[in-house]
Amino acid sequence: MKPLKLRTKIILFTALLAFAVVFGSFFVISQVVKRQVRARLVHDLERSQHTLEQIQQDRLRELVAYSIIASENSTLKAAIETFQTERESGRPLLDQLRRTVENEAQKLFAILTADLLVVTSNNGDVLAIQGIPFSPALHELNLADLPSIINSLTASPVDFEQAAGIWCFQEKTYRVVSVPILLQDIVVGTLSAGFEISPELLGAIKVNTDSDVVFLANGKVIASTLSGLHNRALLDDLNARKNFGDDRQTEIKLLGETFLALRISSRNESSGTFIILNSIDRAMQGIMGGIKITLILIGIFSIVLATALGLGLSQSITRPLMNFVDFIVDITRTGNLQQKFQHPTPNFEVDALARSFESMARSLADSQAQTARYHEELRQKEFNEEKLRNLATRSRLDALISQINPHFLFNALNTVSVLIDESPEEARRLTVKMANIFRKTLQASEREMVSLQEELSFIQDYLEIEKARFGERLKVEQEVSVSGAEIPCFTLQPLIENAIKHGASPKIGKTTIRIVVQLVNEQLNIQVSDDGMGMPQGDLVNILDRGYGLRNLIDRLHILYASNFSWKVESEIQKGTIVSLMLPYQPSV
Amino acid sequence: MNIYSRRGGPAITGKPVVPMNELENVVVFLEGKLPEPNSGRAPRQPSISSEPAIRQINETFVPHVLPIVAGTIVHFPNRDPFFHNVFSFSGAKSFDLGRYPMNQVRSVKFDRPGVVKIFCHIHSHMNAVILVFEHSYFCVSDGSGSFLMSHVPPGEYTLVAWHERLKPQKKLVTVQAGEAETIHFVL
Repeated sequence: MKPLKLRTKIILFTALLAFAVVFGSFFVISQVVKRQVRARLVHDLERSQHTLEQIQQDRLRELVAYSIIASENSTLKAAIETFQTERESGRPLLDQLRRTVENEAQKLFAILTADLLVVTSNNGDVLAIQGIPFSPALHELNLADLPSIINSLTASPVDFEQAAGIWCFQEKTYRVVSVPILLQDIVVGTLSAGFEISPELLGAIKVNTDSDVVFLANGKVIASTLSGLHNRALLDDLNARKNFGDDRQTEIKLLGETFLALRISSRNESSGTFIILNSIDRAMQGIMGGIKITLILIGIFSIVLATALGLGLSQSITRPLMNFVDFIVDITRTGNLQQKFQHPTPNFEVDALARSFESMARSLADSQAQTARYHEELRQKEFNEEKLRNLATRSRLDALISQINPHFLFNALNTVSVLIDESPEEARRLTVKMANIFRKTLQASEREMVSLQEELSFIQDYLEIEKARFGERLKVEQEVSVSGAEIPCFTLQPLIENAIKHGASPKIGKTTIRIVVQLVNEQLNIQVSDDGMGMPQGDLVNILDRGYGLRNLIDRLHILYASNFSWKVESEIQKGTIVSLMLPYQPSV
Repeated sequence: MNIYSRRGGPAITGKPVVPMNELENVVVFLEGKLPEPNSGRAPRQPSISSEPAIRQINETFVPHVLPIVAGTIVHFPNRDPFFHNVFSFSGAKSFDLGRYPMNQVRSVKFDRPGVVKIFCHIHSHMNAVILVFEHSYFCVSDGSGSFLMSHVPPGEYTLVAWHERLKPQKKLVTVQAGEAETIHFVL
């Protein structure tokens, strides 16, 4: 799998973070809201209870009030009382009295917001009935069981709830109050007024309170604002539940829906029970619906914002990084380590990184240069050594050339031929010397450095021949205060050759060549002087161009010692020449 | 305490209560086949007024119980400083005297025997009973509970003690000429 770009990673990460934050907050908010909703529902339920009780109280109060007023109706009273007095008499009168009572009841019922009104005589005769049809089933009316309001009214404060009873008739359930009709202190009849506990009534309560209401009596649901399935589930739940007390809110689960429920019973147990319920789930849905939309909007906004932020952030990180990457790629491509990082967006980290990288590249470049220099030096050194070898070879050849120089050879041979007659012994000795010189020259070509002694011995041989030629005219003095030292080979020979060639040869008379080898300030001083012809000052300026031997020597010393040596030529015409070398002192091993 | 007083209207109105002795509301009469002496002019009982009246005093009918002989005119004088409206739904005599003010008197003639319950339309607690007899052998007990019935011809009778809220009590009595019988009722 291809690794993700940093920018993609940052964007994904921020988006994911926003997503997590939104969902986390949704969870937290829903928990908080649930608690809030539950608290609110508890409050609502209390309000519903209050409303329900208030509605009941108001209706009962009204019934009681009107019933008391009715019981003060003299026509009603007279008719009831007369009815009882005239029980033995004929029907026409009783029917008339009944009609009178009915008439009065009808008038009362018209102004009373009751669903039922029943007037009975003290003997149990039902004299008038309003709200339900007068039917033969009237024996079902068991109004004697109803608690009489009169006892309740003696209590203070008046408890209408206590006075009210439940009365079921023809599938309907009524809440009824009964007021005795008195003639002075004698009860002559009863006036019962009631309102039906109907789904409509509960519906009205629901409208007022926003709570579902169920009325139960005799283990049956009488009326309910819930569905039939809910009612059955509620009954099952209540039957299973033993501890569902009054005035205590309880959570009930009906068909997967959670309700907060409150039971309100009359103090009269047989008068039924109200249960008011508030659906927690529905309330949650209502509130969370709104919150959900808001949260989704906030979530979308957050994710977009986070993505934009991530994009910006990644840009601010990746652009300098990409620039840096480009910079490195460029360096790799061009190999130019001295390049400077040009970054349009300043970024502290990338800047530091680039600076470090630049510094590293510079070090690398330096080190490369050093290596190159080293290689160059090495090459130079090898070249020098090669050149040295060439020079040495050439000097050897030069020496050979100088020795087989026809002039030298002629002179030497001439000298030998003269001596053959005069001193054959001497001639033979010179010939051996000549052979020595040639041999040594050839041998010395193998080495660059020779001991001072060897060089002096070689010079000795050379001078023997020259002395034989020059005779009394050439005198050689040696002053060597250094014994064990190494010097480049053929260091002395060119100097002595020059002294003879340019100092002794042109001069008439004796010439003394003086060789001094000494230590001066830890350096080896080699000095060859003659009191020969000398040379003009003008010739000294370009002395190296004049004599091949000296130039060869100086070149070789340059190669061997670089600048760690010095040389000097002093000359005065008719007086002589001094050639002086200062070389590093190398003791022989 | 009850919101209804025993007599004289609701106590909560604070109106004066006219004390009434229930013993004064017991009517004792003879039942059965009675001689009709003197052909129409029956001897009047000493306790019975010839011009009986039920007054309305302090929202109360006084007397509460009134026995009369059929054909008697009963007056209903209003002694309260406000209107009363006396009426009855009873089979023996159904009437409505309408409203009338203080010191006015309206009268009703009771022809048929029977129990007539009297009420007032304006004051629903007011009520009275008029017992209409075919004969004059009846009387009302006094405050101490004793009664006296005179001019009863000798013979065997059923003596009835009646109170409007109680079951009538009956006793057989034999009246002999010149002799007084003493009967006790426990109500």
